[in-house]
Amino acid sequence: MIEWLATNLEWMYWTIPSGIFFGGLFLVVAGMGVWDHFSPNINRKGFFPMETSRGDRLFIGIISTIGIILLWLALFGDNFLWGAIALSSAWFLIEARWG
Amino acid sequence: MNNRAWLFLLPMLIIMSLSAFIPLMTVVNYSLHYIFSGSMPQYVGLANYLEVMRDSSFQNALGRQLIFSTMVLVVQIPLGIMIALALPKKGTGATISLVLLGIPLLIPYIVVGIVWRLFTQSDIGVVPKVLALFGYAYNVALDPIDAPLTIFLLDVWHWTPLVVLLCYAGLQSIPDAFYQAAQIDGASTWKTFRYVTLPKLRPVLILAVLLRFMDSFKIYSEPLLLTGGGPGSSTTYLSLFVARKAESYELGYAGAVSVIYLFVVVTFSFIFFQIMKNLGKGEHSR
Repeated sequence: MIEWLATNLEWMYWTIPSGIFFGGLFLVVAGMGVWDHFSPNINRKGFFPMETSRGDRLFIGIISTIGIILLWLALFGDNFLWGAIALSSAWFLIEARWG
Repeated sequence: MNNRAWLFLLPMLIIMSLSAFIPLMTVVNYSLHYIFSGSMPQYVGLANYLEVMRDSSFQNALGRQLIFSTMVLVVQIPLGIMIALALPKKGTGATISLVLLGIPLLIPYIVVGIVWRLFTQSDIGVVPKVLALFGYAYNVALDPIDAPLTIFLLDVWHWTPLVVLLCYAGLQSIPDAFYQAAQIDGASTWKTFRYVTLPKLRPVLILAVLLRFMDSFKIYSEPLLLTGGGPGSSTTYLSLFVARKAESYELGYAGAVSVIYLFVVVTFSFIFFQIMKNLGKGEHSR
């Protein structure tokens, strides 16, 4: 199966990092669906100026992570990229918990 | 959701996979490679993103695009509401107005570009000749202010009717009882508009703002035909910028720009959607 995929999806230029990224994204979205099935979402008002659902907070977290990494690249180049990842992870946790 | 419902969803999921997810994943993968036609792609990590984020021509194209899209929203939405309010509510006048407003929407982008090019061309166009009568030397091909302004006016002419039609449909769905109640309460025209019409139009306005914002980001054919992105790069908006990079076989770089482009559109659309959705909430409780 994996060999078949590797041969037939070669034109997509898959790499391990992009595979992990999209695989992770798919698992998170699927996981959110399962979570919502067993424990339905209730919108809540945190420090964001509007009520948010779990999905909203996940979306904001992903978008903010991409934004932080792009800004980091613009300001500091690819030096200390772990700093950007640490910063975005911390923000992700804060907004998911209190957002 | 039962299993049969999932079966009904399946065709849509397959179409979405082929038309959206697979191209998106491919573009992301491209953006991580140095790709030049004829040679083996080379994995470069985030190098393309680094190059894009530090490229002044990309920053200028993005800035130009944001200014253009902001102007589109600032002008087209209020103008659309005003025209919709001024249109006759019923009768032959309403039918004729709606047909006339629909005409620009039926014209393909390419034809719009060609028509406006003929109108604005400095040697044969009617616009430079008319403006010359008022002492203004209009030149869309050489003046870096005339060119973006012309593209903007073209967009206003082409797409404001969409906002008008959406608002008109929204206005028609507001029951007369609300206006009668406002009249009995002695509300002024402005207050009736502010507290009755505008809140009732909110769902339609959310749609109009999102459609116009996302569409304005896709502007491509009109500047390509009218100005070719010039003079200089004064009308090189993001779509044109990406296309130029892809045409010059910088596919990895173009992929990175495309991903950032998508990121900007999605982020702003989400913000606008949230603002419009929450605007005026809780006012009724005062």
